[in-house]
Amino acid sequence: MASESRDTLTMTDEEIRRRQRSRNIAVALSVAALVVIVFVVSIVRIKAGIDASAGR
Amino acid sequence: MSDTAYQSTAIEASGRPDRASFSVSKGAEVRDFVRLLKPRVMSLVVFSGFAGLFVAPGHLHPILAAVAVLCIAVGAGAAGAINMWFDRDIDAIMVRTRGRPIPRGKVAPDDALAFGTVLSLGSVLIMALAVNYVAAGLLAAAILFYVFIYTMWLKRSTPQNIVIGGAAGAFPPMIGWAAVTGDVSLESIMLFGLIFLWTPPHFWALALYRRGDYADAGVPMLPVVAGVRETKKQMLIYTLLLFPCAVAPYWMGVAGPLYGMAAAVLGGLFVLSAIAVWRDDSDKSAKRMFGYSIFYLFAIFGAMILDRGVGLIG
Repeated sequence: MASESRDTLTMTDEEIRRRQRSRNIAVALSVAALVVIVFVVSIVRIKAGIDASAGR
Repeated sequence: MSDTAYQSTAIEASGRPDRASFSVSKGAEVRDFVRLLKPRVMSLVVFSGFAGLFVAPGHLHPILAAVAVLCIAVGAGAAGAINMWFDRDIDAIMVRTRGRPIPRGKVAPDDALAFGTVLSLGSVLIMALAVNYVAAGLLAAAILFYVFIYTMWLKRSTPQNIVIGGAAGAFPPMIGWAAVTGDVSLESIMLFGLIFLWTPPHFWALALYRRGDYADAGVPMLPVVAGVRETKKQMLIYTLLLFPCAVAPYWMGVAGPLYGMAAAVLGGLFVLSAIAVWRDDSDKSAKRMFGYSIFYLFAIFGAMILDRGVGLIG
């Protein structure tokens, strides 16, 4: 278990690994979210382009 | 099982810690990185950015609008992370900021800088690709202004730091507006002016009751350099200047009478709170004014959104 004060931080190797794993999961989710955003934005813009060229 | 112990040497027993004295920390949690983004400040930025986007004439696909707001939020948060990286020495001294992730030794400074830089570049890039180049350019300008002009230059060199530096925080509604229209117009400049004039009384109210903190850190805030009386006078002047600027969107046709009335009432109360601060020798009214200033900005942009929403329904 970790015990923390303002100036000192002491924790076990297990706790450090747990936190690293949480950070890795957060990074993975962020990358996945970025991929989804780029994909969805691409679809929206392609559709807008098609609509514009069709004169709708 | 072996214990791994490591200390943050951020805060020395006396004097200002050197920027290089902050140790590497392996124990950062996800929430520490979230804290680097200054979530409370971000909420105000998101709200004002959304207001600019919502009241702007024209149409933006809802998904692109959501992406634009996300980019504004991430860009603002990223600038905050870089600000925390640069200010880690004075943050460790000030009571208000010593609990931040870097002074506590939870996030290593280099990690904070890398985090802020990557998010800054990513938010501007996505804004450019998904929305338009004008909005992306303004977002980049806001981040660069906050980091280089305010944080690195003005903050520690002049009591007018938050007057000029306040421009960085005034960009979001202008960015939101540009996301829809693709340009910078007089109306969006008025929205910029609203936050620009709101910033000095907001921060000086905080600086009045935290002036000891700022003095210890060597930050030349107005109450520290020019005194309490002069600060209160300046706060009153800015709230008086803000009043017509806040009502201007109504006169310019950007917002309707609902907003106009709200701006007049909220602005009047802001002036009254500045008068209360002027008359009060204690810090009580300054604390109250700081709280009200936050409410004011949420309420005035909320009124703008509501007014526009009613107009769309009607």
